[in-house]
Amino acid sequence: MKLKFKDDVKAAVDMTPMIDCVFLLLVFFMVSTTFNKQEADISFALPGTAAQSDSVEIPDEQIIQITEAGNVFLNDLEYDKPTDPDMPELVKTLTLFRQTAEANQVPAMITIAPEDNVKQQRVVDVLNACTAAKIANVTFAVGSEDEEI
Amino acid sequence: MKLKKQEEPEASVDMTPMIDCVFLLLIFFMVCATMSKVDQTPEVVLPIAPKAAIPEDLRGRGVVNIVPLGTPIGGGATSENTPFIIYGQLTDEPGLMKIIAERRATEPDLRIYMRVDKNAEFKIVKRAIRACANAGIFDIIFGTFQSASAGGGG
Repeated sequence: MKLKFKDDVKAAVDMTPMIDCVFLLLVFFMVSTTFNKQEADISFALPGTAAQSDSVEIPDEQIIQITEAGNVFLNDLEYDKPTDPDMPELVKTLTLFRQTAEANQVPAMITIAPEDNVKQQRVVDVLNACTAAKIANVTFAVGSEDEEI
Repeated sequence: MKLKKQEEPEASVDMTPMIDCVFLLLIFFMVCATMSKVDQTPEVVLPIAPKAAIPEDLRGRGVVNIVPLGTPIGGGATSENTPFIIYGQLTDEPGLMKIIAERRATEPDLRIYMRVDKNAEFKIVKRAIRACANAGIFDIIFGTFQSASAGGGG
C-alpha cells in the first residue's frame, strides 16, 4: 500500500536570498555615503548685486594684492610669509579694519587682485583670512581694461 | 479514536520587523547617496580653507570645475581654449554662458559653485568669474575642504 503523506506543501517564500541581497545593498550605500569628504563653501559676491540695494554711502574699500610667488600686499605693505596659509598678521589687520569701518558705520569691503599665475590655494588662503576677520563683502578685481565688473 | 495532529510548534523567528527596518535604512542611504551627487570631477583637488562653512542647502547650484591647464580630462585635455569642465565636458566662455542661461531660465536664484583645483592659475578663474558676471550671476562660491586630513577619497 502506498502511503500518502498528509503534509501539504506550504506556500512560503524563502526570504533568505532577499535579505542577503538587501543587506549587501545596505552595506554598499552606507560605505559609499561616508566615502566622500564633505566640501565646504567660501563665497564672495561680485559688486553687481552688493552695491545696488543696501548702501548709499561709499564703502570703505581695501585692495589686497597677491603676487605670483604668494606674497600678499595690503596697501603696499606685505603681510605674512608667502608660505604661511593661516596669515595671522593679515587677519589681525583685517579685523581692525572691519572694526574701524563698523565704528564709522560704513561697510567694510575687500577687493582681491591676484596676479594671473597665482595658484587658487593662495587666493583661498586670502578669502579664508577675510572670513576669519568676519568681512563679508569680498570681491575680485577681474576687469579686462583695469576695471572691475 | 482520537486523531493526533502531527504539526509541531515551529521555533521560527518573525523576520518582518527586521526587514522593515533594513528596508528603511536602505532607502535612507540610497537617498543620501543621490542627494550628495553633484558634478564632481575627480581630477579636481580642492584647496583648504579652515574657516569655510559646510553648506546646508545645496540646491540651486551650477557647478563649474576648473583644473590646471593641460590636465587630461576624458578624451582631451584642458587648454586655453577650453579651460572649464561641466559634467565631464570641456567648454569655453560662450559654452559656459549658454549653460548658465539655460539653468537660469528654470532657476532664477542660481549660484555658481566653482570647484577650482588648488593648483589652478587665477587667470582661468578670472575668465570664469567674468563669464558669470556677463551671464548675470553675481553670487559665486568656491569649493574647499575644511581640513587636509581624513575622509578617504573626494
